Amino acid sequence: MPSTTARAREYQVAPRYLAGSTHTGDPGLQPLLDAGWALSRDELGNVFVTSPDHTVRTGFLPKGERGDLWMITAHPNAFAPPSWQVTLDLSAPPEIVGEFTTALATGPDSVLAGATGGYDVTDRFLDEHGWHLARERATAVFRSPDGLVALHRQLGYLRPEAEVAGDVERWLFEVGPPGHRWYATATSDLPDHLLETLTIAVASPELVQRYLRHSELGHLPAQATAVPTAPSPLEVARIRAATARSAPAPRAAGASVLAYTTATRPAALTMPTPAGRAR
Amino acid sequence: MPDTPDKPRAYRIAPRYLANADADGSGAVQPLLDAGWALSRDDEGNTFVTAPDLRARLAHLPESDGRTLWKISASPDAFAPPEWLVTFDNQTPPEVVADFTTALADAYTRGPSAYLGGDGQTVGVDTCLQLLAEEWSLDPTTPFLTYQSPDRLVRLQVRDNPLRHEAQMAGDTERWLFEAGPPGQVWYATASSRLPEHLLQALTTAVTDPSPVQRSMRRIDLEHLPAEATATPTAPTPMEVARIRAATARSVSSASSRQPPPAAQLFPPVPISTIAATTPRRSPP
Repeated sequence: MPSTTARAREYQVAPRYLAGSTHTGDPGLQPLLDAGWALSRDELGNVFVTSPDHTVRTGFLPKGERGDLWMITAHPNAFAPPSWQVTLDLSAPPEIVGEFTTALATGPDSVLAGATGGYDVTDRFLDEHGWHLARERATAVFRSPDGLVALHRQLGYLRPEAEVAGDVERWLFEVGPPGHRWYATATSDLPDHLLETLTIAVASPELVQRYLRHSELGHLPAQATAVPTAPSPLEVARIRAATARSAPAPRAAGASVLAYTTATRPAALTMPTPAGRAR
Repeated sequence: MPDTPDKPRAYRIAPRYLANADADGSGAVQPLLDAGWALSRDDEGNTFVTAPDLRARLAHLPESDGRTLWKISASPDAFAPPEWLVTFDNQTPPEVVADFTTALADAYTRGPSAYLGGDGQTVGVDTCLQLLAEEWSLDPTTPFLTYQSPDRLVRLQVRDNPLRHEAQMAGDTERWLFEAGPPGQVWYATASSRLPEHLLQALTTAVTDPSPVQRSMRRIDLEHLPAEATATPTAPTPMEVARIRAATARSVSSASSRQPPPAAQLFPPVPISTIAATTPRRSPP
């Protein structure tokens, strides 16, 4: 018998970067809301969360002018152009965004501080995480051991305006096998500690929960694993059926009837007539 | 007889552009809050108000360096640098700011084409022609193109050389500079190149509006008003209130002899000639 029901069921999907999105921005925005940042929406359905001084802005932009994007920027003041900008496709797992925004919410003073360039970050991934390096023309490509996460570093000078406009990107994450790929970008002046946070978040092998229908399971990349975390509705029904069948069996013996007559219940119902108040 | 105690008193000050900067700037923010914008504060005590789509914002910056107290801008999107910037310094009457934010809130509800300019190359012609029509004159004594109001108390400087947009957004320079007040008591408002014409006109109207504003002022404050300003009291002074109450108390106590009501005990009936002497001891708790 096929496991027919088209109902969603909870799975643990690994690695996280192949788990896809949840079509909600909550995991990415919640760390900022928890820090007391303000949420607002435009009339198109884009959602923004800003720091109180407007210097750090996060957008969940299903109706953005540049496509479906997460956009995160940091500014030296409320009226200045961004010092750095990070984008992720909305098809990226929002938990990855949440790890990055957690770093922004907990360390607002360091959002614009620290070394840039990223060489220490990429060296660490090469030395400690088994990534390897390839060169493609003007790009250095750092690739994870499983080959499914690639971080491209554009070499040479890039105009800041072109970077912010999205015409070129200093850092480009390319995640997932062909056909299941999502992208993230970062501009040159993203501080190294945040680039590292972002890279760790992107490449983390950990599990995430997803509610998936049977048909959606088939759309996961072949490299992903999905393990059910709870019994399916069908299994729940089977368990109940099994319990139901076993319950009448003792009752047939007759002796168990007394065991279920809990004396407290009728007592509780008759309680509200104590002597003094009966009147 | 000197009107001794230097307590503040309500005055109407005219023209508005000669009134001092009232400490309470909330009136300038209210039109934006009424339009659904959100208010936030940073750790230092600066206030920010932003449109729901983050495309337009106002900052009230009492804790920042420099004279600029108000910054107002609009951008093509939430993350982009501003398209235009308007500033007011810390001596600007907040009613001027309020008139501009009222115009901005209205433009914002009409959509991006109303609060963002086009190419912005021809902005200002209508505004300047309007000023000339209102008998403003060109002041030939300055290196910039300077328009001067008929009473010579408001000037508008226009820089006609190319200005870098980034420098204007950083507040390093500006296309339009309003100066209001006599020498030594000038306040400033600025606007950058790409401010839409109708908002520049709204700004010009706000700066030059001669209608009176309310101020609570002590005698010492009145002395610091520019000589060109007029101050008209709008409410009776505490002493006048006392006189009125004293007069009422006398008429009441004549009806119910020797048992004056509580109000009359606060201000016991005394001859008018002694009021000045007793007033200091009756300072409010």
